[in-house]
Amino acid sequence: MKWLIQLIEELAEIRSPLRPPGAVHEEEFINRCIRCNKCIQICPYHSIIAAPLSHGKKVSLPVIVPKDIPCYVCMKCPPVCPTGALDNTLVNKQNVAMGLAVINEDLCLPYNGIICRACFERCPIYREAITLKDELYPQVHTDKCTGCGVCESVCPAEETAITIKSNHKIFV
Amino acid sequence: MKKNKTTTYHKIQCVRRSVQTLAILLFLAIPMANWFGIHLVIGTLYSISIGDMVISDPLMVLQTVLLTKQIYLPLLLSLLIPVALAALLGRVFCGWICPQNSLSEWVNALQKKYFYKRWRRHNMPVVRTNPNPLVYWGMLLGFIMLTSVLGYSLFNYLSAPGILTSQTARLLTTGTLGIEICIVFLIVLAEFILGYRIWCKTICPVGAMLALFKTRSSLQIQHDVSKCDCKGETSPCTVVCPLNLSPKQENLYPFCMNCGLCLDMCEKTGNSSLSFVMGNVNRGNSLQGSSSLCGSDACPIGKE
Repeated sequence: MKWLIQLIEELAEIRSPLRPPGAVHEEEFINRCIRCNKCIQICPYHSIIAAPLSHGKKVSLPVIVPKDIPCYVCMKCPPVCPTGALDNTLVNKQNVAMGLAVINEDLCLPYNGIICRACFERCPIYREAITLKDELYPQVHTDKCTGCGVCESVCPAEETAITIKSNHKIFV
Repeated sequence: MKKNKTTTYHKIQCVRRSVQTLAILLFLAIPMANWFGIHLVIGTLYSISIGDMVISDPLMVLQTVLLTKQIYLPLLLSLLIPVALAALLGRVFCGWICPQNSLSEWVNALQKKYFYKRWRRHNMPVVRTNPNPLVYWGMLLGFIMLTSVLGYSLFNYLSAPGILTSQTARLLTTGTLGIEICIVFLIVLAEFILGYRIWCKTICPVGAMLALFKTRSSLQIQHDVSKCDCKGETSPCTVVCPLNLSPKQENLYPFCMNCGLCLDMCEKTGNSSLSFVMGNVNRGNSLQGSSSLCGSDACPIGKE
């Protein structure tokens, strides 16, 4: 049963992939993006990659896999997009809405009695997107979280306790 | 008639070869430079930024307009340079820059060297007429309609230069290749088996899109009938043409990509009846003479 859930989760991830900051709505993004590679090439952290074949008809569109390299919201990619698939006018990282970090309290270390501030310390929207309740338990603020995935990449828990859910909904 | 041997068009050929090589080197260098943090030039032949200057493939702009049904101003501005170039010099992008053309020319040269019989069978046909331009425009129209009906970015998979450059970048930076590279393999394979440049000549929508912007005063090839000695059915200019077109006949455009190979060959025969001109030319049927071959020193048929 576990593999089935995993498969469904994987498919969901592919159907709503994490796009670079400033990406317009997924349906429009697919139509606008001409796969010119500029965002991929300008990214200083090599966070953005061309989607592999498993993405089906969305193959070669730019995606971010926060598990591997998260987006550090340096805001270099939105201005270079020639077609407006990434909003060229976006300059503040506070306004990015790529996705949302979700904490799994069963896996998160502080909720299990071990002190850990990894995601809180590394969040680019410091002290705004992730705060510590009672100076101990991390909490995500949905209105501030950009979905960059830095927290996911730094989470030391055995099975990553904080994951990014893309804002590009599967069912519109 | 006194034959003056000039080397103007031969020099142009040398420049063209250098430009082709430089273009390939550039698209190998860009991803490397980007990887090491130099972002002066970014992008591929779908769309490229040099500093703040953005140049986009007109076909990609068309795709975006077709799919989004909106006009995005910065995208339209990026059309300026390619459209101006195509209006001034014709399809020089194809003949001088496009890496797919360089690749195909190279494959064709290999075929000539190692499969000469095969090359000869396909590259020395009797060309009495050039293809009908309607085939070319029809293909483009068909692809446009297919894109609108499917609502899918089909042109991304039909732009060979874009695929080649983006996949090179991907290979150099991440070591992986996308599925699109198969299209380039298919083109090369088809052109090798069929023996003629089917993609560039009849299908390629990138070239068709650029050919749309040709005007009556664009750079084009003029044929001076009075100077032409090659009265045969197969002329050196046709044999040397990568697309097997006859510069003497009608309907040379939109197919001709102004590579200048026929001019170089014509110059070598000593006739210099072909020349580049900016402006309107009259292109009449000039194959009225006997069927004998020209027999000049440089003539590739004469020595057979």
